[in-house]
Amino acid sequence: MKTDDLIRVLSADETMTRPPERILPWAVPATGVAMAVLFFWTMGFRDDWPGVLWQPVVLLKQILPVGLALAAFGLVVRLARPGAGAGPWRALVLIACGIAAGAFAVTAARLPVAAWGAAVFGETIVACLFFIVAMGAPVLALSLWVLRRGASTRPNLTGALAGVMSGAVAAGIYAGYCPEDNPMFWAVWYGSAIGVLGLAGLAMGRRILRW
Amino acid sequence: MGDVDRLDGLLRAANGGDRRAYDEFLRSVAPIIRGIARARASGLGDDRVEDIVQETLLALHQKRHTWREDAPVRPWLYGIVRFKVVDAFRARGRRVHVQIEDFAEVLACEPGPDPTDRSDAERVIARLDPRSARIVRAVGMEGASISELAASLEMTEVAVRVALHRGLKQLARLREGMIE
Repeated sequence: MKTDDLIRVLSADETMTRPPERILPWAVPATGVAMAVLFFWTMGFRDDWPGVLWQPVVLLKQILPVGLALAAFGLVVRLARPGAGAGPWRALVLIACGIAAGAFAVTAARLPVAAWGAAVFGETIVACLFFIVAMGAPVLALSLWVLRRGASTRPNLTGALAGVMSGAVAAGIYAGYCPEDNPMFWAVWYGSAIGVLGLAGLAMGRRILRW
Repeated sequence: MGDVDRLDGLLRAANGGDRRAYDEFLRSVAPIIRGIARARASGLGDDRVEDIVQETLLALHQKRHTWREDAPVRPWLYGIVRFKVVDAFRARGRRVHVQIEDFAEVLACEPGPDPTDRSDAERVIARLDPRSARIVRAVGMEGASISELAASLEMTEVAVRVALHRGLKQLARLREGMIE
């Protein structure tokens, strides 16, 4: 088939697909809300929620994942569109990670070294990792499926950031239940769970998001 | 660069449903893709280069909805072409580099000798279901219109459009696994 013939065929095909940026803005929040309803219905909020949010450290634990999710979302949508550039989103993702690292460092500096172990390990690591990964996984699966409609020229990075976004959504939900308020705990374990989803997103993105 | 505005306008009209504008857009873009591909094709025959051009055009077509009308076309276009040309060479066992700056210097190339029956497109079309294959060939080589095809195949026009769209989608997918 000549290239001219192919062009004739292509211009006869008028069916347009909807871009991911028209679907993700409602699909991701909808999945997040579904996960939240399911989670709080079975597990409940922590007893002192939402009054406890007046404590800055608890509030930070609650809003930082949400902020990270929004920033990663903005970046993922940009990445799905060739030539779009990162805009302010990449900086915002890094700032959110930086704040978490900062909260860890400040807390560590105030605690005696002997207390670090207990602060980091807390008592609920397994629940934390399990729930964040379990709630993030459906968000990630849906995001990748929608992102197939995009045209990311960096499938690995896009997949990884979709994982980070999904993990951050799940961490934002889990924070409403989680009894551990020490930043040395949540910076490490929320971060690890988000990282796991990021790696899963990377591994899947490199296959699923190729085109 | 008045040319920039021309491509923007063409694709905007095309996405608004103007088929003639879309046809012209693709015809303006093909020589750019060919120029980029041929400059990196050392040892690869012109007919293989044309395969890569067609593969890239097909990908561009499948992803045309990712362009936003408020953005200039070229950064988007170059992003897609660069990704797809590198990918097409990789599928043929070669590593090539394409920089966005290369597009500024690319010499638009006219097609070489027509790809023969051995071309990738030809082999892939043969693998489509018979009706889609018939529709793709009739539109491309015979210049048949959707309404003519609907009449001769005793299908509705909508069904022909859907079959064409699905056929092209499948064409893009099959190519992945069928490169020599």
